[in-house]
Amino acid sequence: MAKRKISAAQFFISMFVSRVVVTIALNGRYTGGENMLESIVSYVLAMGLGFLIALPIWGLQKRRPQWDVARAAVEDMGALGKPVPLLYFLYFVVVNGTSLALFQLFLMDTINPAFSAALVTTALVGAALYGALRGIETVARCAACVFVLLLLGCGLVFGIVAWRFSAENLEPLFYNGFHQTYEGVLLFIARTSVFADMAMLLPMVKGRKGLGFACWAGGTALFVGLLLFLVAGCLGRYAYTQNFPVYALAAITQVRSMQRLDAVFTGVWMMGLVVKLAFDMYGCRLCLAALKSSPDDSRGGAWAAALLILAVALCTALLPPVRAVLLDTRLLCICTVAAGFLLPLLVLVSGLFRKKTKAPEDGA
Amino acid sequence: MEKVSQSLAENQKYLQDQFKNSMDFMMRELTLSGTAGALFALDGLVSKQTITLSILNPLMGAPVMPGDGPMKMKFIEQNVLGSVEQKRETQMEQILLLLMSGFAVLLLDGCGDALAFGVQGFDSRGPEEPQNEVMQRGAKDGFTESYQSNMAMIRRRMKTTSLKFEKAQVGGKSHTPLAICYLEGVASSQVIRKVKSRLKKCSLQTALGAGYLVSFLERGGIFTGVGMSERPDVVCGKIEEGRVAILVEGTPSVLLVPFLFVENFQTLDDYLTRPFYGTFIRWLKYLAFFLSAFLPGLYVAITTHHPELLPESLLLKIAEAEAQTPFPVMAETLLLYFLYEVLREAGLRAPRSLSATVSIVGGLVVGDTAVSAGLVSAPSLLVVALTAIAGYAVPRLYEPLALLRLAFLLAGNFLGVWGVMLGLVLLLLNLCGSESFGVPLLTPVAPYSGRLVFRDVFTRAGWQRLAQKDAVVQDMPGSRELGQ
Repeated sequence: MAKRKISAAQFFISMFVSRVVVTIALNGRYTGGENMLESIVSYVLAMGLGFLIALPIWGLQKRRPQWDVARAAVEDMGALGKPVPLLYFLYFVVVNGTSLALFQLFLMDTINPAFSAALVTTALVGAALYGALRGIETVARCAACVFVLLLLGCGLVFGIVAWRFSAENLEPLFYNGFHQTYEGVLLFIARTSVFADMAMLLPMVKGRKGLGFACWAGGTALFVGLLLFLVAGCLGRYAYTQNFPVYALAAITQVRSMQRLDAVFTGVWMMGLVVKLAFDMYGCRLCLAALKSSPDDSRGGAWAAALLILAVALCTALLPPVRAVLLDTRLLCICTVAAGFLLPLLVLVSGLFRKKTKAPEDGA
Repeated sequence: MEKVSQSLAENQKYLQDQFKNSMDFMMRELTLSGTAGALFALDGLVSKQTITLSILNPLMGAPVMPGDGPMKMKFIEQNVLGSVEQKRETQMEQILLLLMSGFAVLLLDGCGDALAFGVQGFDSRGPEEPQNEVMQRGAKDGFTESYQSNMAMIRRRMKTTSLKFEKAQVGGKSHTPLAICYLEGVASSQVIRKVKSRLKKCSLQTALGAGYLVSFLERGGIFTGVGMSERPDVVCGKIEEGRVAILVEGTPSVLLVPFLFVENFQTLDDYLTRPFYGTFIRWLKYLAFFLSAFLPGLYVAITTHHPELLPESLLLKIAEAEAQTPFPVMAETLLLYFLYEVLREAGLRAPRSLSATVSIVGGLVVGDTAVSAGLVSAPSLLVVALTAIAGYAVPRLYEPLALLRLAFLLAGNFLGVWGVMLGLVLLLLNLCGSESFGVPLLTPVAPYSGRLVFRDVFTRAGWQRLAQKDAVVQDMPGSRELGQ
């Protein structure tokens, strides 16, 4: 069966949704300081670094446009390349497990609903699994719809809270040195799975991918910048005391007929999470297919990923020691750089080396 | 397959055996210039007057015919009878089929061929205004049960030789004839091929309605990829956009493929009014769809789990009403919803003389007595009533909406607004992943095409713009290669 492709716009819109989901869960504890404005600088720097991190992926795309990094590793490196798809699979599980865990923590600590938070998390994973099993086209189309809902939801919240903005809440940049900026850069890179997504899914994308990536980086920078600017300007130092300052911003929103819009915020977060999880579960399908050297993507990969993501999320949310390890910014940052830069570079170099060593044999 | 015998007696016996115990089987024996013959037909399916005037009278008044059976048959065919629909048959199975389709069959002794004449004369309903697709300004004629009349209705509106009607048949026992109708050069050849192949694979023994074929044409999903219309003007419009129509004998509904989700919101009236009003009506229908699908779920979710979302005054009114009822909101809404569905079904199935009684009793009992007795609250009743009315604004989506409403109601009760949101994502995923004959069901919204979306989805453009460029269905974004 011929594999279907999605457009670059669809892919990067999905990545935008994933990015927003991660940004919503941002808090002062992880950004390393109290000044939200510095996080905007961190994000811009992280995006600049992102262009460098993505270079090996582009190189590999140019060399092997039809293969993802995992398959290229297996094809070029043989048995030595087998751990690469496995590592990507594990990366997706951990990154999505932690994203889901943050959502569950939010439910448990901030919302405290009358029903089990784990039930919501499980339902969320179920929805994402359904999407992953339907295929990448389905998820990409759905992501476009969620993107529109997200813009409408965020536009509503932003538009309403803007009048609460006070310049007095803004603090000067770099007042306490550059430590927070540095921590922020690490955090934003750590929580970006776009590199791994690109490594696995870019061969299924048609159109102007470079332009798409640039638009994605610019668009997310604009969105994150605006969001953090509003959080800083509307909440001031109060934001630092909140586990989920973006939620706190939504919670103070009032419209004449609606008392609070935090349910809208949570809904948008959930919808975005489903898209993010579904995309990465589809990535897991490709990982297992590469591992088995099978031409078709493995449905079992999505099932396995769903179960593992749920397990990681529940463990992270319920067990503080696990949480301390898996939500550690530095560890996640290393994993992201490994998935986005080191592994593609390794596969690229080994491919080039193999070509060089093969060339004399071919000549002989 | 049995062949027609040279012996008339054997043929007579065969047909009599086949139609044993069938009182509608008619046989008229005659002698034509010394050769024994017989005319067969089924009572009720043929016009006796036509048989007398165009077959029996000319045969009886014919000059002396030369030669044996085959020669006489040839003479009759060429010089005596001049029926418009006339064919020779050698297979008994075909003859049986023709007899059951309203043909009269002439057999002569010593001749291995039969001559069949189309003399259908069964009663049929004339074109009337469709009851299920009422239009304000459209034509007042609708399809009938005869697929041949339906073909004529389409042909009368599209006088082009590109309009094709290909004959096919379904049903192992019913042998229901149908016509596959399309515009050559406009409809995708791949879609036509797929339609034929799926109909061929149809394992039905009896096809009593077009609806029987839907499950053989689509691939499942919440929303159907096969459309239905009772209006010839609507079908002509769809055919012009590259769709394939399937006209099934015995049913006044014509099937249309590929059928997109946005078409559920389009009616002919939209195109007969001014564009701004057409757009307004379109948006009303979108709103009605969301209201109908989500309102009960959101009502239960908000009143049960997120009362903070409501303004204080409204919240107090709801709380006050709810305090006087013995059931939780969920049970109350569910009960009302089931009652409404029962009333609707009873109103539909009850004899016409009783349906008014059912409505009055239902309306009074549910609408007044239940509220004044304190069994259900007025806000819940209002929500269910609003939901029901909104559902009728998009009648094509009634079936999926009936189930979606229930699903969102349960999701809202167990997981609050988040359950409804999750349901919405699942619905979106299902819609985004469904296709109708290779065309994404949600196109041109997802995959997105700005040109098409602002042509006839979010806005209904004026005819000057609509006429400029065709929106052929296989050219929609995301369609698999469905070229000519």
